[in-house]
Amino acid sequence: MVFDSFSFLLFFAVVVAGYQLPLRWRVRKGLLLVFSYAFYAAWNPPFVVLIWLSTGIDWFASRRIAAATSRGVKRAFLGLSLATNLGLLGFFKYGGFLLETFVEVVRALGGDFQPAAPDIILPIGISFYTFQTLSYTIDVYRGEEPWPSFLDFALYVTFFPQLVAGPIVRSGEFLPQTQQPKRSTADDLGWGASLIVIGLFFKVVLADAMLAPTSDAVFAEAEKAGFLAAWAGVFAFSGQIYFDFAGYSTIAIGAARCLGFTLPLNFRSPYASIGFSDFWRRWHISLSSWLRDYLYIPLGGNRRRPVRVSMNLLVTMLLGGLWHGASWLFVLWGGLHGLFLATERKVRERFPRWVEPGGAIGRGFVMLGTYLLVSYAWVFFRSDNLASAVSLSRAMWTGRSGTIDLNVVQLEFALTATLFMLVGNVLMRERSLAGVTDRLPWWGRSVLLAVMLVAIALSPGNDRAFLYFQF
Amino acid sequence: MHSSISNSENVAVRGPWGRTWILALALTVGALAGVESEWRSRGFEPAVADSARLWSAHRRRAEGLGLPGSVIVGASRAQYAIDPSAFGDEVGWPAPIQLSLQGRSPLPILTDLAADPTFSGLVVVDLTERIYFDRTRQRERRARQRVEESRALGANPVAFIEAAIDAWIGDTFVFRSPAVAPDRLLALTQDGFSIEPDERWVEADRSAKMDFSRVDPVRRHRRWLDAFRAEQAPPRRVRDRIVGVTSDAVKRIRARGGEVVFVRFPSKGALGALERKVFPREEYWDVLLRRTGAPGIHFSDYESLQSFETPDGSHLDRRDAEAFSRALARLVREKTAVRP
Repeated sequence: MVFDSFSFLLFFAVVVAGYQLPLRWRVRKGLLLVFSYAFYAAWNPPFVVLIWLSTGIDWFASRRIAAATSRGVKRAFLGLSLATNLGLLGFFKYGGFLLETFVEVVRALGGDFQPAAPDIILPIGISFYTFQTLSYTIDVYRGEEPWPSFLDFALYVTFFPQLVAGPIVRSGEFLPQTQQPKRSTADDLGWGASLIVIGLFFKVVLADAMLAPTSDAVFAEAEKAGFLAAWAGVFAFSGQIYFDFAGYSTIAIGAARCLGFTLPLNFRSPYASIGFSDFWRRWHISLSSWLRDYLYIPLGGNRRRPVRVSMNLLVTMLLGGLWHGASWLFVLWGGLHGLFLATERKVRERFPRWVEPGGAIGRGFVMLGTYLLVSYAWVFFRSDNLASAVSLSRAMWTGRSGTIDLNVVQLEFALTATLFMLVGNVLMRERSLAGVTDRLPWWGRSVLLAVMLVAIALSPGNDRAFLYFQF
Repeated sequence: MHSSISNSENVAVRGPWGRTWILALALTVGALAGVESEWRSRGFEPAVADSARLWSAHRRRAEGLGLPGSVIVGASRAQYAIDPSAFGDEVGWPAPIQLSLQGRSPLPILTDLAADPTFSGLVVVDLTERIYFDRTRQRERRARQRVEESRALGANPVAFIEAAIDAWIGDTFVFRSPAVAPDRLLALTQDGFSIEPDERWVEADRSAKMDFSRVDPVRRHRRWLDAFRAEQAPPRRVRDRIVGVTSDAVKRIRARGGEVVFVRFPSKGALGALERKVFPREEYWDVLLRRTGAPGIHFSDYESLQSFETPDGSHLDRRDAEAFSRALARLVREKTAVRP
């Protein structure tokens, strides 16, 4: 059941109605939990067992950690949580990839090994909920008090708006919200529904209808792309993945808001970033902050010698890349961002004005440079294979002429959506959607909502899955 | 757990939301009603989007299917030429399930059916050589992608609800028709064409219709020719690989009591001549039938199929689909000995 489907609309209407019933808060939380399991089971019922497993192990391990007096016991139960969550991820997400890599290595050494195809289906959202439960157990290991209610904890892991593609919510952000009984207020419902419409507009109109056709056309025939087509395709994908994922996150935040819950922002005008560290404070914020707190800082963060700091950045980004999927191309994408961050750090030390210029022109220049390099890195993220990525890179940086025949109308759509995105990101860099909406007159909000609803209704349905569902 | 969300950006914006939403919905319904009425007054009719969800819903119907149940796999020629109701009605079989995908190779669909232990029906395979023996494998990849999407959707217990809602909307509202999709309308305007109903559309049973009275077939024929001239026949090893994979799929389906029949749909004029030259019958059609041992129906061998015209060189007009389907169904029954 995806957010941009009619079945979700029906499901959500039932959830909101059920949530308003005059029942005790505990019962209504139980109802939300049951609805969340049903939401997940709508993809593939048996995989609900994996969520139960992850929830149960982390609940048990965290309580044991809190009760333990010796460091060894604490470590053992943290190890249990890590082994379970990373084991699940490893088996379902990386099993086939590791086997494939092993076969390639054997072949490179002259051997011949033909294993049976593993045929493993990736449980949707597994990367998100395993990171979420892990963060809870690590926090308890670091001295936080474990949460007293299993029902609240299970709801934290399973809460359906953020279950399958984030934001990766921290326990400290969610669990305190379960203490006070909630009712959906008129403001919650009105603003939450508006966020859902904005998210759908991002996904259905901008990502799928306007940007995806050009991006798909270029990446499908990367070897035929010339300079202009290659950049057009890459810019289109930059916009597509932004509107797709930010769209999903906005719908998730809106759905949670309708139920009176607050989820953290996941995007903050990322294509108006001034430098790469700024980009990672604005793009997929819940993942980048997770990696910072549970990987980069434990590795030593930036409190070590410069070489070690660069290595920490690189390792964090390589693993961040691998988190996205079982492919060396994701690792390359992460590695490229690691290099960008490490280089920026060096430049910042020696020429701080280059990275943070004072004037608007200088800032615009760094902003544009950041956008270009971030867009270029998407080549490795989106390409089907390394050969396509290399071919597209050549076209982008050598000015090669190409033979790809792009649809002019689709290209115009992509260009329009990209300009809309860049101008929007720059204007919204220091603003929030809530703040801007708050200043609009009520009828202005109505007109904007109607424009978006009509555009969604008129956009051809093409069933593109949310890109981040595959992670 | 001490911390909580501290940023104030993500709080509920204050209303008045009641009147905001009432006006927004009224404007939306009014605008869509206006658009709907405008398209209907211009002669547009509801049409279904040939989406992954629709395809997946039909693929699920093929699960557990046995004879005389049948499935059509192919590209655009099979989708335009076969009227499933007429095909089934002619021979007293259930209407075949249409799984053809325009511009994509049927090979991954055939192998998917062969790998499905519950399937033991009849498969009618459209063998358009330049698509089936695609040297770039792009058409194969795109078809495999659809199979994978379908598997992902197939595990979804609510997929059938989605497909049913989609079909209802497609059958009811013109504004959701692919014929009035914004990119098509803009392309027509920019190319200097008037906005008129599309010459082709897809129906809920996934059969496609082509109305050549709404299009210049000569120009279309020239376009196919231009596209085809850029293509080449695959190297022999590619052909042999494809024949090998096909042969394996045919064996597996037959081993379960099913059957496979290959059909070469009509192609005429300069396009037909070019296809015969690039893909000589004795090197492709004959080789495939010999190695798979499956029956085949080549349009040029049967008077009942030869008489049908392909105005653009490649596809049948919607007015011919019913008669063609009946003629083809009779031949399939003769060739395969499948009985109701």
